[in-house]
Amino acid sequence: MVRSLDARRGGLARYTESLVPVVSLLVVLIPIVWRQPVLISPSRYYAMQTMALALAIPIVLASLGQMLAMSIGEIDFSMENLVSLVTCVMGAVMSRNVALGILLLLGILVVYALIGAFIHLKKLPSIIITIGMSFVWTGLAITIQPTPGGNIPAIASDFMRLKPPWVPYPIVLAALLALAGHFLMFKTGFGILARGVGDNVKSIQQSGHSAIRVRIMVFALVGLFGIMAGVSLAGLTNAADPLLAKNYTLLSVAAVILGGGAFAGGKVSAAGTVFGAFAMHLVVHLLVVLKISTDWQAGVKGFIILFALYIGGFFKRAGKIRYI
Amino acid sequence: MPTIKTLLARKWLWSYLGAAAVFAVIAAVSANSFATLSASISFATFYILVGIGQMLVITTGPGNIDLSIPNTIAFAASLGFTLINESNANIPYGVAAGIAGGGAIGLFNYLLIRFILMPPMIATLASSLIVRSLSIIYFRGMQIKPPSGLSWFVSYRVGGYVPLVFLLALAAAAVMQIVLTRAAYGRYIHAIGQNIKAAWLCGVDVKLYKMITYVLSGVFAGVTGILLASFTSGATLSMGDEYMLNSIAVVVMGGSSIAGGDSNVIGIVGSSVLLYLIVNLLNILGMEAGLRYIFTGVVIIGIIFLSGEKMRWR
Repeated sequence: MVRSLDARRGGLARYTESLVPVVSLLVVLIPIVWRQPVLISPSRYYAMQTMALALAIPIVLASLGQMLAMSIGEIDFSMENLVSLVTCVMGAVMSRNVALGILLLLGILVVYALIGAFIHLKKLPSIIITIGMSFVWTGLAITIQPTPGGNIPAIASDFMRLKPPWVPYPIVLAALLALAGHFLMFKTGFGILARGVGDNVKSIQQSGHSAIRVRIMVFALVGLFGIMAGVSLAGLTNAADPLLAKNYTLLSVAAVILGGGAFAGGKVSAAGTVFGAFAMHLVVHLLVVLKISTDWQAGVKGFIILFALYIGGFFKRAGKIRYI
Repeated sequence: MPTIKTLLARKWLWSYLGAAAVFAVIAAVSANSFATLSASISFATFYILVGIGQMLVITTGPGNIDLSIPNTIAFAASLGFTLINESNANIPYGVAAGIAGGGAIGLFNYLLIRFILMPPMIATLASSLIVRSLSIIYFRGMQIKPPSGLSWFVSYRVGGYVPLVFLLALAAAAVMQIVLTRAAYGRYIHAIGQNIKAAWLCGVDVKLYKMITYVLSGVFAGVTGILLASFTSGATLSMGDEYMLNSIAVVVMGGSSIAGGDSNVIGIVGSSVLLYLIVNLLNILGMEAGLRYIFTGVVIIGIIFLSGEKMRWR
């Protein structure tokens, strides 16, 4: 019965809610900038790239994929395995045989579309299907790239290392992704239907829409975002590794929740998710500038999730009986 | 007399049929199939124990899943083994500390769910991250060796074949089966899982029983941590990692509903043995690691498909 805040609530509650991702990012960013003010001086803006800001981009992409799944009340527990597999496809296949590589990536998209159809037709829970798929993805990754290594096509790494003037490239990419995600979820018919399926699938069906089409499209897009995450991760690290994206599944779920998405589906925020992903990624840097042992890295991530949910007003559900 | 049709309707049956089929193949290709079975059920013991804990949590309703199990396993084992310090005389304290540590993490999970009103998956995820940091800081992520007494205990085989810990896990499963079907606790968590509002209106103390459930899940993970670390020659930081997905997989393959309200202890035993028999069969066949993973995934999806789980999970 733990459903989060009602989206219909207006006024202040709505603002506090959309503040959660911003505040959680600020909690991480302000100490960093305070200790290293050089990071925001215009002459040194590339320093932001040296602090591995760019490595947030794959996490942003994976989180947006997870956001799509969670918008219809599902979840992808195979995200880290998928992203790692894609880096292996990039490293072991794409560099030698572009056609085969593209075919493999298209195959992943088809499998994701099938997962969407399966979940609808057999009423199978996505959590368990994607747990099964996580073994399949890892198996494939180990088969094509047993040990870390590989030769990533230059186009991927070149694309991730562009240097636009004035604004650091990762920020440009993140802003574009947030805009695209927001447009997809709130300005297109597909986005409205997806959130509708997450909130109340019966009402969507009774208004004459096909829920299976929405689920298939959503899962195909989850796959697409996972693939983009893998390609960008491979481009940034120049590595192909069946374990490269370790922890991406939990990080992406946490980013969506930090971003103000509801666990039960129907409510998401693309911009919030991007903020959440950045907050999760920058935790390591926060510890470094505060001279806290990086042993605390996982713990601080946990505390940030707790803190964000606590101040997010998730606990204010006046007028409702709380069974727990 | 149950007919074939009513038998097949029992969801847990599929995991046993699968296990029997895999064992038949092992018997056909391996000269020493009983040794393989014996090794498989040794490892399956750990799946059974964490599976029961995970199942209790899942039974309390849609969205309830304990993601802190892997780090609870590592923390409890490290805590217990640090106290034991390789001395047999300290075993009781270490085991008690491991169990208490697991239970404390379970309680912490519950408090987050209760007072911060976090979705259980996120609450257990957050606490799991914190616990991981604690393990790193206090136990430096080193491999802490087990005392000889515990090592002997976990590798003891009754009659040369049946691992003692497996029998104890079966006993624990039997007790939980009785508790879930006969005791008030079992009825209550099923009621909570099926309709939390109705359960609450009927006067079930939802808070109390949810708390007990999360603590029990932590306790099962703690016990597993101690036993697993004794079995695999030491407590390490990542020793529990594979149990996150597998603990959920054995519960659902065993016929429990991921949406809650419908538990199945018998199935967990079958699916745990099945999962390890598959791993060992593929090893015997000399299959590469990659193919082993793929096959495991296909079997998990196949069993779910056959057993016909038909409920939305939240």
